[in-house]
Amino acid sequence: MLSPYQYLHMVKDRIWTLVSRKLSGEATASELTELNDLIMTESNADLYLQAIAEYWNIPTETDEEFLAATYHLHLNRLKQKGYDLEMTDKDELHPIYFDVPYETPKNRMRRPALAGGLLISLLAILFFNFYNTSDSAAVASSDKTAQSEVTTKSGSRTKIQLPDGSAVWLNGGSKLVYDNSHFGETVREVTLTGEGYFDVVKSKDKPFIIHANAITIKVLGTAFNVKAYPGEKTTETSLVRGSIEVTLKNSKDKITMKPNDKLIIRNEEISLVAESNYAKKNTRIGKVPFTSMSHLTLARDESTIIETAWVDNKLVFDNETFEEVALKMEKWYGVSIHITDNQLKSQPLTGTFEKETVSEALRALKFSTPIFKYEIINQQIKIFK
Amino acid sequence: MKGKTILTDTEIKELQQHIADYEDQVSYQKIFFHFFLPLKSFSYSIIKSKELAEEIVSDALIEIWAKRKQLAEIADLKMYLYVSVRNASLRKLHQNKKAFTFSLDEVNVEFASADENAETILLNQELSQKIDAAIQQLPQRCKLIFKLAKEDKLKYKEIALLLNISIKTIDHQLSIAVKKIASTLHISLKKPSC
Repeated sequence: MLSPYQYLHMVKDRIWTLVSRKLSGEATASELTELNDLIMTESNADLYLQAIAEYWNIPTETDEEFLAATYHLHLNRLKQKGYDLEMTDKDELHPIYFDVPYETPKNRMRRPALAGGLLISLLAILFFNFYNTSDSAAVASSDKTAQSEVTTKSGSRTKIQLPDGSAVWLNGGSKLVYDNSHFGETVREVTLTGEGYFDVVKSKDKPFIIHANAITIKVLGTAFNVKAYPGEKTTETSLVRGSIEVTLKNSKDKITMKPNDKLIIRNEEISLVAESNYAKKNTRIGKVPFTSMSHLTLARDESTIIETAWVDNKLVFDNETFEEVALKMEKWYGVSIHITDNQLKSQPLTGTFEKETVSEALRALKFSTPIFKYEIINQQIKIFK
Repeated sequence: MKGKTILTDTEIKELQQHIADYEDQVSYQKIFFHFFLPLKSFSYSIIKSKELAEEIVSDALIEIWAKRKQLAEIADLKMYLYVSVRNASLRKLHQNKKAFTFSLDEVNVEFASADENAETILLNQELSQKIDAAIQQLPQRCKLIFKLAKEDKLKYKEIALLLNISIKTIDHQLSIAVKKIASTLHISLKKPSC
């Protein structure tokens, strides 16, 4: 049998347990009710509780400089283990991940609150892919005869001069569409499939807009690269100078890029079989682009930026797998390359090709990495061990 | 900006995905910035050497990069890291001391410094500091559990798993800590000079 004194102590201790549970977020609904009841029996208890809660919730200081310095040391330790990473300036560490809200009756409730460019949870909503090239080509002009279309075959590059003086270099296997007669009247609008390097003439009241896959790029005057090949998993934008604003289709969010920023957007292509027409209209499913921002890759000699090296007619690759290099070579030379061995596919390669023919290039590769054999028959190349 | 490096559980999961799918170095850096200091502090409480603690945490985060392709498979990265750091710290301790006994009462708990610009309505800095001092007087075991719950924001279940103790113990120790805060307030507020 407890004395009144002991009982009082027990009750009081129960309060502290409940308070801790509440502050840690561990309290159940009934515990919260119990706490409220206990508080009512004590005078000024709610004031004490508020003070305790304030103390509990005081944020701690993060010494960002110390963290940055420590990260440097950490990167050195990583290098010793053979992992070569780069540090991003802490001012540029802002998150750039986007959610594409879609208002279908089902998910209208789940639409998250967007907090001005800050990180938000990426809802794994499956979308139906209607961002195919025929859709994106239906852009501004209804007058089809005024549409200019420039296409490059795999293996050839071309430079286009737009009516406003802006220049576009198209890489192999690409297409640029724009309205020749109305270009620059109010806007300067183009649609890109494939890869293009844009050097845009400044014109503040006539925005330069590029449609590529799931993104729209509004140019604020500048030079940059866009890589949006159909069938490839990502869309990339690399900014060399100036500044550009990227928006994702069907989203109000904007990403502003600064020089040396590179934006990669993953195009998820999910196909819905049959009921496609019905699906298109009523369920309005689309793609969920995922984006990540990093830096442009400089080749080892630091003077060539890999992403735009093709503009200078150089094929550059830096520690990329044979599979990735093969993909680049296919577009560059207009050939098709088949690597039979899986180990070969993941073999890292580094190199620069300028005026070599494809067989000279392969011979050079074999010289530096003599672990493969190759065979060229017409435009088909086979790589094997 | 203060608090910019703090991430939610969902954000951590996404960063894991980005690292696994894209070898995204920016995401990796964010993970580092989020976890490094609390993990270092936790390791330090066991190993009692700042240099060793930094090494241990750095090693754990190197492992994360080494295993980046499978990173998305880790269900709870936070616990994975805390447990990994705990084990590495205990192992290091065992290396240095021949006899292997480790009790929670032996930990050396260091609290992070408070953000001085934090706005409080009822507390002023003097009062906050009085509470800090009072907490410092608590037994180490109690301080550790208090720090993990309040600063590191670990859940009771997580603390129980990490320290190999029961939820009941956590309840008990935290009530001691909170009671201490209350009594400090009580004493301070009853003083005529206040």
